[in-house]
Amino acid sequence: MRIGSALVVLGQNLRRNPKHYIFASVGILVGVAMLSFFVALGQGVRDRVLNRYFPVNQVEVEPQRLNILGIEGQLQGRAVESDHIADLAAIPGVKAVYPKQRSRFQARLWGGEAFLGEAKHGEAFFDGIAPALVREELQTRERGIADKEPREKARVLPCDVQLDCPTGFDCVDSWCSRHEYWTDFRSIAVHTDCTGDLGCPPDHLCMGGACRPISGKDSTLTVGRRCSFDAQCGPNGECRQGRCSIGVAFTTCTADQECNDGLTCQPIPCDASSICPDGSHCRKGRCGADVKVCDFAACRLTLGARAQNTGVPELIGGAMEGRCANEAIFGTADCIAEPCPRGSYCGTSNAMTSQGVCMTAYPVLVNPLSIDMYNATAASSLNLQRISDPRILLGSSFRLRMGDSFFMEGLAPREQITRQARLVGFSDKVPVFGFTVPLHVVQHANAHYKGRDVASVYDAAILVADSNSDVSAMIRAARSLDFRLGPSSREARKLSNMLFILTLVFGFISLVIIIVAAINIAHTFLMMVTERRHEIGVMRALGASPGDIRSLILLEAAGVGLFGGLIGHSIAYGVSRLANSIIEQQLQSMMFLPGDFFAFDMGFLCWSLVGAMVFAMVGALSAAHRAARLDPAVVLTNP
Amino acid sequence: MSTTPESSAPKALIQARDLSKEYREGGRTVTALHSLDLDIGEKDYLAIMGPSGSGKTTVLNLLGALDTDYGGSLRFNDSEVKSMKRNELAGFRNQTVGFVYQSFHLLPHLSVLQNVALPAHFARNGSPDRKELTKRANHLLLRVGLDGMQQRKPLHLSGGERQRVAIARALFNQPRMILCDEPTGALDDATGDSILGLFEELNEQLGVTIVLVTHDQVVADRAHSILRLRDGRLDSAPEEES
Repeated sequence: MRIGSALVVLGQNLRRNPKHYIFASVGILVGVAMLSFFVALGQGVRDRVLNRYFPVNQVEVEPQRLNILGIEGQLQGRAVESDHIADLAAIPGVKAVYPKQRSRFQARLWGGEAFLGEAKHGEAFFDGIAPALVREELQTRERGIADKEPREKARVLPCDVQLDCPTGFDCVDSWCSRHEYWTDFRSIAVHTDCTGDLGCPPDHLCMGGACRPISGKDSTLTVGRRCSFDAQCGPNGECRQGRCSIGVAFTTCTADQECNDGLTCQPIPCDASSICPDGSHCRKGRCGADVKVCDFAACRLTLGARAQNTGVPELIGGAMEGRCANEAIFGTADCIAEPCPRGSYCGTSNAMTSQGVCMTAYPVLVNPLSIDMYNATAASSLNLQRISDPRILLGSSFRLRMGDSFFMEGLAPREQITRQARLVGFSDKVPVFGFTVPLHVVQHANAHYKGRDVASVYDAAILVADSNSDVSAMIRAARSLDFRLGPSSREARKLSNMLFILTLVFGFISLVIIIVAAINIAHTFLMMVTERRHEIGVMRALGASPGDIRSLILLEAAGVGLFGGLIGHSIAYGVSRLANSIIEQQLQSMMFLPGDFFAFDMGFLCWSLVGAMVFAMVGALSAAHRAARLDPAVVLTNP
Repeated sequence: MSTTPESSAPKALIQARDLSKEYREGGRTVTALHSLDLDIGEKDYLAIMGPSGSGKTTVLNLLGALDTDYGGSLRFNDSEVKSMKRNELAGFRNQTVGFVYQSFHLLPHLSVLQNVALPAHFARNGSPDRKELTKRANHLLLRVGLDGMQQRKPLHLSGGERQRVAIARALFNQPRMILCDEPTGALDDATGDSILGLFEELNEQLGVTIVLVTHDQVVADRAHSILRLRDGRLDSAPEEES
């Protein structure tokens, strides 16, 4: 019997008594609906909630710690050093290792005037991560937020210069396009005062009173110190022909427009003629050589700006004196003062001075949950304005005072540094109580306050696996290197295991229902075969073989399974929509809820339909055998 | 038709030698058929008569390969029926034999057209396409006088009409032999007469071999020859009808 003919006969049989088949499929329907609902919920929560906060292929590890009577202590010498990072990167299946460093000094912050009406203050806890780790997440999340924007607001405008565009828009190719804040979370130029290399982060040298990165592949000019012997060139440098082999990386330029991050085009900075190229002399902090490089511009704070810099909650604003628009040296009578370049501000080296350099705000990320928590706690308790739209936060600035604290005694005012920070994105990798900046920003600050040694080691590392299947082996290998899972990863695994167990329990219950349904199908089909023995006899007389009869009965059962499975899935989908809308209503105060808590996987749908058909067929197996064994001679002679 | 082999006779379509059938019934063996020798040729029209329990239906089931558990030999076109495999037997019933029963055995949930075309779905060599099926079924319904009743359900037909549907179904795969078990038993005389007329027509015009079981002498008299059975044995030599 050919499959086409079998399907024709199957269709004829199914149409005969649909109620019978619907009744037979009820059990399968309930089982599949339940299985589908809970698997989709489990998968959705895993993918859209758990994986969002704790991506499956990313694991945070930290050094093993001693735990004595519930108090944890770090094993001596067990910080994450560069060697450890290399060891972790060598673990098979590890795609990348991203070190993480926390701030090691006291700090506080204030800001929020733009959307809260007045500045709010708080203690600042922050850490640094490599921008590459969150690039994709920031982009996806920001574009997700932009997609929700009303159309009229997103309309594009023509422009010639940046000033033609409204705030939050950039003039790109003669059109105003929405500024993509996620691109701002990158390694900006950070200015840190120094008196020696040890106050600078690793791979930095102290030159011209500021920490500067040693030459890298992106530099177009390397300025090396003059030297007489290797020790003058730092631990990794050599003295060759009177110059250190390692120098400071500069980008050469001819005009300010060629420089980024608030830098301007100036003569090479110096603190001694010995570092100036071409035998030029160092005068007032700049080499006399013709070549110019992108560097921090000197500036002076206005009175109002200085007031806020010392802690008075006023808006940063106004012109900043002291930056020379011409080529004169700052502080001289020839200097023509002008504000810092667009997008930068005048930052000083401590709270007691008004002299500083133009610099860009630290790009900052916050955890979306912290905004939800603010709305749920602080906003309602203190009657503050709720933040219902994350877009108003993007691009907003706040001040960070390093060396000061609400919790403990602050450092002397001369050691306190105030910097602007700007919120550029939301990431689940950020601590809920705190914020995150690019790794090198934290390293600069830690080196300034605690020295290079502290800035050279990390607190944790995030391992990114090639694939999800590599994660377990990756964790085992990390443990063998005396690392343990970080708190977030431990939590993630706990939650993931709980979710797995819950899914398993509901899956098992669903399976039991489907097995009971298969038993029900067995009874129904045995009854049907008894009722249809005459019809089966006729088919045998007309040329159906026992195999044909068996196939027909099993096909009918498969049809019952398929029908039950499809309706079950449809019901599960319908209930999931209802559940979603209820969850949305109940948790409407949370801004970053996933759009859908359920993930219906096409592969699972197909396999569960196959499973439903198989269970139904197994249930009908006995009836099919009985039908195939019916003796047509007996059946037709004694109808 | 003859009951014994004759070397000069034309080759038989069906040849039974020492054909016997036993049943197990309540722990004892009942012999339903005793050493029957039978030859049925092409285009024969044979009536099998006998009282109830004489073995008429047993012979019919054996001839139609519905029952292959027999003693002796039963050959169809020189092929031993009991040595055929299940699929061959199914194919034999599908392609070579058509069955017509007293109670019609139509499937009530199918239309007349679907009932007639049902054998096509069990064809071993693949069924013709839907268009061809419908064309053939319509042609057969026209032939048995049921044109225009294609979409009716059997429940809405008279007994005679149902039997005509059953005959059309039996003819669907152009069988060489039609086996009829009391085909007029449930019909009134006039209808029965028209059905018998149809058999004669099929036998004469299409050359279909007809084997008809009946206990009605009038019906049997319409056949070319009559085989009488009593207690599973030949009651007498077959009577050749003129």
